[in-house]
Amino acid sequence: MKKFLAILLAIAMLATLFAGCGAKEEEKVTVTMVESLTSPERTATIQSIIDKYEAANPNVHIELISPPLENADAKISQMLMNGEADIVEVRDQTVSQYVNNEWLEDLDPYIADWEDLDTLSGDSWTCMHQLNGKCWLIPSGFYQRCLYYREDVLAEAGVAVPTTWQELLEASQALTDAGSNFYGYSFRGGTSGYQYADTVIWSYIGVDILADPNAGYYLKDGNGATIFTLPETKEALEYHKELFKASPTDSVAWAFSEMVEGFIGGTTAFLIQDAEVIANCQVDMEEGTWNTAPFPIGPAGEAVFPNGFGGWGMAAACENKEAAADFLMFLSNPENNTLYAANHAMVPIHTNASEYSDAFAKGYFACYSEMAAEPEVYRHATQPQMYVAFATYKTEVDAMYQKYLLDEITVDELLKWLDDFWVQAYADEGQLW
Amino acid sequence: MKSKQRLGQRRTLFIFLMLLPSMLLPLIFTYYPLIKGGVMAFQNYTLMNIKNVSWVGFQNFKDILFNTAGVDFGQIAWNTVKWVLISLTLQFTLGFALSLMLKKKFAGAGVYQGLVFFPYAVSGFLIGIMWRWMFNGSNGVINDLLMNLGLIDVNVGWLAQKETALVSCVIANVWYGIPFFTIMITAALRGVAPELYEAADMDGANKIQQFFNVTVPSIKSVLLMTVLMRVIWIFNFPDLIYSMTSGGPANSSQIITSYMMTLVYSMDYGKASAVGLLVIAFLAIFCLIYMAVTNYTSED
Repeated sequence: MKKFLAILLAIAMLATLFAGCGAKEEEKVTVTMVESLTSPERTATIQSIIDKYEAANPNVHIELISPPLENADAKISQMLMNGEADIVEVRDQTVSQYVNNEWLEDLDPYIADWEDLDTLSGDSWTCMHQLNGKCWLIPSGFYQRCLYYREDVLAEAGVAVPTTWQELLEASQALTDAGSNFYGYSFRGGTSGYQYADTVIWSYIGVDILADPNAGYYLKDGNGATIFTLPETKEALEYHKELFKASPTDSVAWAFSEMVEGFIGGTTAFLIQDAEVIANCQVDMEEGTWNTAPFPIGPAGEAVFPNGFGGWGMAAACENKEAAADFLMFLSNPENNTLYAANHAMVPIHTNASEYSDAFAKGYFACYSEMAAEPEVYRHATQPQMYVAFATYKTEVDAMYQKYLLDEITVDELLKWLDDFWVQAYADEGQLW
Repeated sequence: MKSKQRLGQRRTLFIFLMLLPSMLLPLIFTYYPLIKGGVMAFQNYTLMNIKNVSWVGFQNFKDILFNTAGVDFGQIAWNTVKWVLISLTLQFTLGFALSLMLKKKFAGAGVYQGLVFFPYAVSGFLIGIMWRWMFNGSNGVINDLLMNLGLIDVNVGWLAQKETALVSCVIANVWYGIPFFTIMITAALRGVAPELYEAADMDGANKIQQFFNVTVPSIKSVLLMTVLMRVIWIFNFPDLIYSMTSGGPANSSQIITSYMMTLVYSMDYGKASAVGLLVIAFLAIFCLIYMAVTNYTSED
């Protein structure tokens, strides 16, 4: 009897084992995806695209992880380091770190046969291949800046909408009335304020003089010489200080929320920000009291600003690379990308986006179409973020600009500091563009 | 005999196994990070490129202490001294005054006590954000209040001026830290025997004499301990500064620990760890001096 029971038990165990094998064969492939710029609305859009993909591909499960915005990038770094993520959100601020640490997979071999490759915009292509000529991400959209202005205030004061930096300064000075707590411009002097100074500098010197638009502090054929030695850069910084004087005094410490609040709350007449602020203005400001205009043009005849981006990269440690790449291409196809960009006020990555939505050609977004129509005027450049020294630079440069704005140091001292820093970075790390 | 020995060994093993979690947890969560931080302080450890980490000797310390990192460490150290001393003095004085008031029983004492202790239950970052908007130079409630009282004519950029940025952070810190002293001192005051006051009363001591000759000596050990703990905590409390001013403008409100946070956010773990070791050294020296000056012993 005992023998019989033992045989029965062994058969049952074998059956269980084979059943397990069978289940494994049909087991779903799970792709873990981590977002960085988390918000409930955005997560819902991404999840809706995931649902569509999973319905068409029942053997693939996309697990979306949405860490809190404040520490999302740190969480992504940790997960990449431990090989726990398959797809991660890569941003202009993080791409160098991820590439330097060899955490990302080159996507070129996976997207070579992508049917939507031809409709990718030039900006998308540049952003995808900006480091070492390899494709580290597929962008999800671009955060391009424009000029926000108080339509009612300008009409009442008889001031025209500025098209150049000089006009912006004159209009800001004309509208400033400190006694009534009203100022021309929402200046950014706090965290990341240096990025605004950079846009002024580049609009004064133009992009063609730069060694590379992605290494916007170095001069072409300069052997590491920087833009901070140019007389036009000095003029630009002097202009930058004048613009500060037509802004609230506490704007020396303003970051994103304060500058947007300054405009929406009725303290300032002008604001330069990404398109994402359009949604805030629509909620908190009355129609007809505000509008958007193209980015101001500088003395070089160009309006230059960073083409900020977010996108999706594949982890080098990803175990299901084919499945992850297939989903990335689905997520980034013209239909899904246009839906995503339109919902979150970004410039889409495909040139045929207008076939899927007319949101980009009208209303407050019309200024982006105007800028896109003149690519020789509205151009892009960015800081040399591929340098390890850039991480240190970010922690020190805002304080240096604040010292300059508060008259603690002169413009020449600021320029010397900037020049010394980047000459040293070039000497230490060489040419990285 | 053998079985007795085996029993003894088993008992030792059992005790060891029971103690293991309490030994492992501090080792993993306290001493490993401490040692790792100590190692990183001597490396060029930056998350921008962890594939290229190497030993750099005392370079990180040199960069920080001799301003080659672009930051005036002397100014930051002086800011830290002001931040700790002013915050501590005001928190202690006001906290002590509040606890003397709470010592007496009165109607609604429980509710009042709850209201006094409330700030201590809120996170430092949240309080920083709250005070940042209250001190906002354009739309802040503090400017509005002062304007309505006729004390100022134009808005003041509290967090944007070098002269007022640190002071504003200190005000927020005082508001936040008073409950700690109130909680500790109230508990100590309730332990003072009423007979001591009765005796002092009979000897003709007035309220001030009673305060200095009965109250203070009776709770001296609690006062010394709370001041020591509070100095360490205020020193290690960059949350408020980071969320209110990020150390600006132009580093005028930067303290050593908020500077360390800035370095962490810039992914320069090597320099951040070096600052961390300096903080440990400063606090250790302070504790030794404090205990020597106050004659503080474990019996206190």
